[in-house]
Amino acid sequence: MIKPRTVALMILLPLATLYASLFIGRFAVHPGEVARILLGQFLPIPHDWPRSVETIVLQIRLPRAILAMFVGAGLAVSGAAYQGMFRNPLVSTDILGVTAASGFGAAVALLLSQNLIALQIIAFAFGLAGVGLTYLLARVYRSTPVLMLVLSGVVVAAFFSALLSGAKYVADPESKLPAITYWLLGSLNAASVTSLKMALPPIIAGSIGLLCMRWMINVLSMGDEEARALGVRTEWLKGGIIVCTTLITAAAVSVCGIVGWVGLVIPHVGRMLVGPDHRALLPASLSIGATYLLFIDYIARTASASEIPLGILTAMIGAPFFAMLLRKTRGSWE
Amino acid sequence: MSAPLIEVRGAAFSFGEHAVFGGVDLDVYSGEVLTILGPNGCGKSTLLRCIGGALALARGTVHLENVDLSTLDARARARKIALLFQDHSPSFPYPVLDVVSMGRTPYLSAFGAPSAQDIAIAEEALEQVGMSHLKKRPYTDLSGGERQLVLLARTLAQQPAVILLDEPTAHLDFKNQVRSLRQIGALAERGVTMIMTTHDPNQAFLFPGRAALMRPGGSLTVGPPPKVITDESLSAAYGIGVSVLSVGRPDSGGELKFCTPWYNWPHKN
Amino acid sequence: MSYLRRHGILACSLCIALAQGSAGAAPDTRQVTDAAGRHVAIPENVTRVADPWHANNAMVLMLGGAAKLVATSVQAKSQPWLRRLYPPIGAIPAAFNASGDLNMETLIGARPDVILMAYDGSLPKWFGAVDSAYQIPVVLMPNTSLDGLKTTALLTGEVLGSDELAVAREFVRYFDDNIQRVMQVTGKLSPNARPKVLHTSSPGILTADGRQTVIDDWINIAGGVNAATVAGNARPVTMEQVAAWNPDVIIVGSAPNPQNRQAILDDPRWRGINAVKNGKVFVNPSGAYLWDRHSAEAALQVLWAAKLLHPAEFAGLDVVKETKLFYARFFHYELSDAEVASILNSTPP
Repeated sequence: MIKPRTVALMILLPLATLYASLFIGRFAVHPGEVARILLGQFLPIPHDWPRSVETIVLQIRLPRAILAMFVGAGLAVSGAAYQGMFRNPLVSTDILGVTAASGFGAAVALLLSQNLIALQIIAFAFGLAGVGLTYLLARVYRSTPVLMLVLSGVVVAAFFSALLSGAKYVADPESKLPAITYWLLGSLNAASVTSLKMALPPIIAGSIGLLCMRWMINVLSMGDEEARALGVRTEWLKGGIIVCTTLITAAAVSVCGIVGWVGLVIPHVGRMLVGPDHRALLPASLSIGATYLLFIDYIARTASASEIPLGILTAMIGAPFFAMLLRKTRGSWE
Repeated sequence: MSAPLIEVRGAAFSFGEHAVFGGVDLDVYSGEVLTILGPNGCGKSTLLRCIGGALALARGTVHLENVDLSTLDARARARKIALLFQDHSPSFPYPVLDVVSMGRTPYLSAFGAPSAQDIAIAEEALEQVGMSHLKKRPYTDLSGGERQLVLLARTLAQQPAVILLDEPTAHLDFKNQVRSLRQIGALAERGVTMIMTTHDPNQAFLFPGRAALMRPGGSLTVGPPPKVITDESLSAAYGIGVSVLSVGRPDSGGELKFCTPWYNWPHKN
Repeated sequence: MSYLRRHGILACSLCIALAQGSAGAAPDTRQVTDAAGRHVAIPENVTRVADPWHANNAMVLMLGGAAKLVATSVQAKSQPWLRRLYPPIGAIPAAFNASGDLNMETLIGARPDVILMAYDGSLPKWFGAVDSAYQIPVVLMPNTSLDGLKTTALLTGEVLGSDELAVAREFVRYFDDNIQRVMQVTGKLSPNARPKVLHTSSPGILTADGRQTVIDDWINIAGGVNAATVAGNARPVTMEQVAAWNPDVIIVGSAPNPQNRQAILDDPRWRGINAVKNGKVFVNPSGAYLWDRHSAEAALQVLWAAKLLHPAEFAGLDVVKETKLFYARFFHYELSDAEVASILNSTPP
């Protein structure tokens, strides 16, 4: 299947990027010092570094980098699973409305001046509710045809977008409105050990679920009718994929706002490297997505004193890249 | 004759208000190739899909080896019956071997993937249809005829009791039609039970097994092809003049029957 | 008299009467020069004022012109202390909303003589319509520095009338006195003695207020230096950047201030910062408007901030007493101790 060399690269690259992100930043820290700080958490070596540096590495950079990895990996693998399920290269994780609903939830939480933890819970809940609504809308005679899912997703997303506009309209322009606007553009600044504890479990659970279904996604991608003829319980499988991807995406949006173009572009990069077989593609997407978002985060927090929102960077890099892909493949899957 | 492999009793199906067929009784015996003919819209594809479990009958039962198919879940059914559809739009360029390995899915657990043994079975199926040389090629690179054979290999990998083929030669050119039919014939010779719908009455004469001529509403005339396919029956069924002719085979000396319609041009000189 | 002549005279008289009438309807006007350098013609006697600038409503109240307010903004109406000081504001229609949009019908219905508005270099969205189509005079006032605040006070007073202008002059004198009082001490401080001050909003959406703002001004006057090296209000920054700046004092200035301050104290990522280690995280007071932004109470802000940053040098400065005096003198309101505490702690009355 995949060459061992590629496997090694897929494991090492995100870890190396993670390590690098601990010493790259506006506050200079030496790579060696980072290594000692990390080791010093487990081994009894003398703590000869300043406390402030330790706080920066362990409390500020490490949670942020871990969050970037998991969000990037989760969004990428979700995008790959959806592209297989919907048999469409233009599908991203937003298609069933989880992003719009989650964004609205976050806006509501900000309007009510909720603290960060409450905001994440509310945004997550709204994300799940949005997809639930889409699924119910798409039910036709005990099945959920793919076309109905897409159309319902469009409707639900539009609905929550309208509500979001309403929330922005009533928000106080001195404090609430900039907070909402900025949050929606996407940022990893909320990363802390607490947010990790809340966001990681759903992302990990969803990713493991999708990995378990890798082969079945291959079969599903041949078409609902064919998959059923091959003994696949397509309704359960689709439901399972939707549950896993929604867990991942809602958790990601609730903790770092709207980060687009990852679920859309990374699976295509994965296909270029390991082929369309989802047994290889899903793990590859995890790895490439993690590395990609870590890299984007470097730029977000180092390019200027003011943080550049993630969503802007992923769009600025993702859109031209996708345009190039389109030209190269001329619209076919290869 | 021994007990039928498949027994269809009182089958009826409607699309909404419109009744497609009703009161269909059919037996299929092990080792035969049952060819179902009939004009467009008589319901032969629908009947095939009902037997295969892709559609649910409004009334009636289908028994396979004395087991009522409606009691089986999708996986158990897929181990007994394999379907070859005519409409097929591939999206991803999976390697041919992967496509054939999908035939092993009914034997996998919910989170499983094909084992080395499953892949061996898939390779053997590919060998049987003579497509082994293409096993690493992307499926989307193949021509229509080659894809047909790969899908046929996939049904073989399912190791079913019966293969249902829905107009297998419908979209193929002349050469690929022959190629396909030859493969089906080779499988028939090995004793694989098949039910095949076709728009070409000639195909019923090619394989060991009976023919079933279906008329709109569901009435079936089943029997040996020479008995079922006659001038009168075809003309009545298709509504055009048809002659069934016999010629001597140039290669083996045996008899070859074929049908030809009367082409009545409006202005006859 | 012939038919024609009689009607001719009637017509002429009618015309003259109309001309007189319209001339009499046009009030005498005076000219003010606003912050954008425009010469605006406003009525001699201004009795109806629209004030979409939330901060300025408190200024209008302080100058004694609140009775002339006929239209205001949604934010101003929801300022809890402003409602306490001037309950009738609840009944004044809000013609301007959160995002600066204008409800033209409400505004026209209020028939204002003049509109007072903030000016930071760009004209408000509704300016074109109001100015050319409806011809309501708009007076633009500066809002990016403390000096500008004094100009605003004087301009507002000038527009409202001579009584209000007198109060405005008194206010500016008071303001200058306060600044003088503080600068006497802080003007002599060496750069090392000036603590680094970070003024921020809610930590979930981490922002810092940087150079070239009102906040920068009062930090400097109060004897501190702005830890944020960015320029402008509410710039988003990363936690890492804040750690690099390592401020000595943190002032939380965005509602709800007390909860946001607590969130900073609870958040483990802030623990390494000097200010948190030394327990110097404070809530910015807010009364008729937020003291730290363009409020009339900026006059108190400089006192409060100076005392905060240099308690030893300002031991004799009693902020509670000063607040009571200010409110009594300018808002004509006697504050109880509990009410002062509430203002200083930025909680509603």
